[in-house]
Amino acid sequence: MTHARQLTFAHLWLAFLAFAVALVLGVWQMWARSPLPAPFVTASTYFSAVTAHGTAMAYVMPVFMIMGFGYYVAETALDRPLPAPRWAWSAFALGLAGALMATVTIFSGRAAVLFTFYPPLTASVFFYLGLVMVVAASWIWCVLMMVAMAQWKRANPGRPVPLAMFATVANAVMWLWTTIGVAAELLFQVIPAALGLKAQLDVGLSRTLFSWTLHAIVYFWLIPSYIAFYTMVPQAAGGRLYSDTMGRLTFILFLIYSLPVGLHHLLMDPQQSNAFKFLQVALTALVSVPTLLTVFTIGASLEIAGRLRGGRGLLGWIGALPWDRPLVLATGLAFLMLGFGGFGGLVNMSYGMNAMVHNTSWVTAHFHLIFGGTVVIMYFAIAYAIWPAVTGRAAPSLAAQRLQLWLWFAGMLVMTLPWHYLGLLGQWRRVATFNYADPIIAGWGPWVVVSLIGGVILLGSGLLFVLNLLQFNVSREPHAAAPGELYASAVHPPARVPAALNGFRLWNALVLVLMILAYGYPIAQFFVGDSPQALVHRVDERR
Amino acid sequence: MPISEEIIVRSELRWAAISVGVVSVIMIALIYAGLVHHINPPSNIERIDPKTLHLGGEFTEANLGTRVSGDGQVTSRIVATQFTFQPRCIVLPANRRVTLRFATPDVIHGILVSGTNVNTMIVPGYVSQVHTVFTRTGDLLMPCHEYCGLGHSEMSATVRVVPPDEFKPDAEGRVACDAR
Amino acid sequence: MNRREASDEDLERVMREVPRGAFALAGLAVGALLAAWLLIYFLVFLPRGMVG
Repeated sequence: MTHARQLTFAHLWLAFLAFAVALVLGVWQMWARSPLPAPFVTASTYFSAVTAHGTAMAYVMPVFMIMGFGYYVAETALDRPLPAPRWAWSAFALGLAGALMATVTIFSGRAAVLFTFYPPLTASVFFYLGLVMVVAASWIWCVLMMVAMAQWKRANPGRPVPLAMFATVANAVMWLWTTIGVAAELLFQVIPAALGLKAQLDVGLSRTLFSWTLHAIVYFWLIPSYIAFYTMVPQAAGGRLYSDTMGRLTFILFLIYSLPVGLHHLLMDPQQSNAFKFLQVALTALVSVPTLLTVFTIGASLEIAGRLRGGRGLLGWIGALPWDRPLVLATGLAFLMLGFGGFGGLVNMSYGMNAMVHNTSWVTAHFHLIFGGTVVIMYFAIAYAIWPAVTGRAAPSLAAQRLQLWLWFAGMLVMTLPWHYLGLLGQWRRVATFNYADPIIAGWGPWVVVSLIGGVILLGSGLLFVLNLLQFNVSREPHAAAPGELYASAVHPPARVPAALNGFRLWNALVLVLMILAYGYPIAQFFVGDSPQALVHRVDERR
Repeated sequence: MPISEEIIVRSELRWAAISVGVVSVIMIALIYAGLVHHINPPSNIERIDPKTLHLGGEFTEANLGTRVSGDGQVTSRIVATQFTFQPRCIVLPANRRVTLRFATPDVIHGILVSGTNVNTMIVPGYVSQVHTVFTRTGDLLMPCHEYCGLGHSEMSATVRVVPPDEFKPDAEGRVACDAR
Repeated sequence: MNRREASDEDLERVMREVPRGAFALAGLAVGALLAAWLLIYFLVFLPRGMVG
């Protein structure tokens, strides 16, 4: 590996440092909301912390993790140096500067608008500009990924792009489409308002534009974990990927169906009709299919591994798998959390059923479990798997890695399962302190404390993760094996694939068609007739 | 040669068919709930100017709260602002179709009514409308469930559901919460 | 374990069983998912009443 080593090292460390800070804030937030007295709690500190936690976990950490992992894949899967590494480092600098600018603004109390912005609430312009810089950095990464794949195809005419890179570029293409919504919202509405150039804005439009990004971004987060499932886990388990073709199809299905579904975040909103809400619910049902396919394909891949190791019977092969290997363990734990998290998500998207759970702790439970759980546990395992090649040292202790993964799993369940229950009881979101004198709310107290304990376990696990990575630096054992050996082979490694499974031209056209169908009218309606405007409400005035 | 790629893909397609089948069951159940049980998202698209809604028309202060119209329709109108509901308590009868209408002059709010399917966002520029039938009596919690600024944690209202015989509108058709 | 260790005969033998186990596992998982969804649909959602 030529450039990826240092790039991956820098990006992942930045991601995990942001992650660690956000973890501490998250536990403090849960403490503040519990019946137990917590220090430093005011509305301003609480909501600034929520903004920081959300911004770090939803934007900064994933973007840098995905960029860093992408550079690693681009060099190791394609077996060639990264094109234009200076652009990659410029992107890193741009993203870092933006993240710092947003952070300083948040901690100075001038951006308590949460990571979802909620215009007409308007923060200091430096908050938004900081995030724009992070997104711009990610766009540079997207272009580099596409260029790397194009260069490889030219040097290898007719050959299928290695699956890990194909999926990485699918993610990059999808991310470019995804960011259009929030970019339009920031560029045309929120930043002009923050600069004082606009005194009013169209809230129906801003919510609709943001919803465009808000769902697709979760697939941006998720695809690297699925890349690990398809291209690394079968190898770690000692088996083969059941089907390379299905792998490609899965990532293509995500590219197509992640985007035209954002309205399922607006099912309770009064500015969109039932017709378009139902259409996007139906499309959401379709985006569950690639995940259901993945459960089967990865199950079959692991079954190959288990049976090769002597496992017998309909399900006995599960026990025969090498669960002592962190990537394999993380996959098992990830799929368990996917079961719970997927269930929560299905309920959320179920049209009228959303009324039962919208803006309650059920929603909080769902996305912490599915993203913080299934996706992030794989981020840990990916880091552990590639760190030997990135640092040139061997893993000092697999037992410590396994312990960290188990703690993350346990903490996540203890934290989120009570939240599901509390959500059904009506506990609502984004509250700094609850009035536990109220008899209904008092009954929630014990469950809130249980949830807090889960959060503390997660904090311990997160700190252990950072420690485990630091251990590589002090390890004396050099790592010699080739980075490419991490990748799995398929049962039938393809000699050729159709162009549709080797590129994205057709799929981009399909995305365009679907977006016009699903979002065309829902957005255009704000430009027809007199769309009402709301007054800008600044949150960054000096008190 | 182990089994061919065609057989592998066919097994995947069989699983895909099962997946689509499961998802279809869910979609059908949702359509059933929407059409037969009348449970749908609140999607009455009705625009209103947030800057003038307190000045005249439906959401002036005197017209807020529960009112029974001449034709017997029970409607409760509530304004959500930073950081309170006006009025903070409304009375509604059980076992009778009621309509809740919300508007806001400032930022995004939202409500749920605990233990029910009543849930809606309140977006400046739009009137949010929810029809429902309350089946149980008692004081229900109606908090603001969407972040609306620093005072969000304290923003809450009460929905008092009374038995039909205790629901007594005055001469103008209005019912207010008595101080308890 | 490196990728050469599993011979072609081993893979062929194993592929006679696969994907029966995956069908079983995925089927159980998705069945449980559907069951849980139907439970919450009938026991919590519908009883909470009409709204729209």
